[in-house]
Amino acid sequence: MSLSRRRFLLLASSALATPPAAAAGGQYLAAPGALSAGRWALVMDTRRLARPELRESIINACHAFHNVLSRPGPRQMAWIRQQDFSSVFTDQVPPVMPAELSSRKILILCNHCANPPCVRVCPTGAAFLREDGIVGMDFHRCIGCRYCMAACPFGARSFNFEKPRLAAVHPAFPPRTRGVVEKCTFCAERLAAGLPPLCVEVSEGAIVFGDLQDPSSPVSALLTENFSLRRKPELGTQPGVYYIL
Amino acid sequence: MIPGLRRALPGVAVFAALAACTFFRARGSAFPDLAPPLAEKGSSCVEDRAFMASSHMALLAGWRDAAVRGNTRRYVALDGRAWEISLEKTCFSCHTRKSAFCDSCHASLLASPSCWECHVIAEAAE
Repeated sequence: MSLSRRRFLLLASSALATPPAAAAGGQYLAAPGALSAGRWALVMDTRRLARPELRESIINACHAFHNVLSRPGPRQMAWIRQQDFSSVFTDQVPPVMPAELSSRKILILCNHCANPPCVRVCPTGAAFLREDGIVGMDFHRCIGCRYCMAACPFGARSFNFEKPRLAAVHPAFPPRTRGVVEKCTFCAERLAAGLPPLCVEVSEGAIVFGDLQDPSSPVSALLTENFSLRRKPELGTQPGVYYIL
Repeated sequence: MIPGLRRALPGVAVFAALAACTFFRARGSAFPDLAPPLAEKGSSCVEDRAFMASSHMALLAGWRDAAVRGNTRRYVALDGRAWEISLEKTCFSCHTRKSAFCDSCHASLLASPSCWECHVIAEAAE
């Protein structure tokens, strides 16, 4: 029998292929007490975030909890940061506007878009859209190609150029390793434990989180009573973070 | 016949001889006992000992995907006990010494799982 090179390789590789690992035995269930929603949304009342100390404490709390190494420099990482109104809402700035508003500091984070470009370009499925609207990150699957960083119009993603060397590691949320992209996850692990996102908890009521599809939720009430803006609406990504001015 | 097999035969023979060397050298010496030490705390693991020994990697991969991607963070084991899906809060709470529990086996088997690149365990002072 003549054995072609192609057939030899096929046979050899099928012999080497490992059988699938035995399926795990038990059942997987949602954690009791976990918060759930049809569409999670976050509303920032920027009028109540005027105090710099409050904004700093929100940023520091998030970064300390999630082990984000936020050292200033060209490779600075951030899950949440602050910028002037005019640089956050670039396309929505009228030529003449109140000076207080144009220089007002706005907290920015991942918008958890309903139509997320980062998810569309991710080649490994590390960035994924959950049914409740959260744009999740599976740090295990990220290969560090940074397509998502190029695709995100909001600069919400950070890259680990080196293994993070933290002064103190907060053990509840493992730090990421070199070559992994990271961003805000709306504190998915806290929601699963029945807790609101950390920024909401430390914001003294200035940041509100809830289900946009539930008309009786606090976010729905706030957005019904106040006019709000979202970032770069013309791009059609449908952000889930709303700003009241 | 595979074309060129006759010319390749001496090379194959040398490879086979070299590969056989390791078996002859190791003859008589026992492979290290891979049974990991029992956990510092707790009376039984999530599943029974045999299952954990053979399939802990599949279980942990299932836990990882369930928690991160499926947002299901509760595992009901075959014996009906429920566990929180968390390496830090569940596994490490009993297996407090990673160097003794995980590393001893993995080193013998030249397995280098990438878990520890991110998941950190503060080992109790020896």
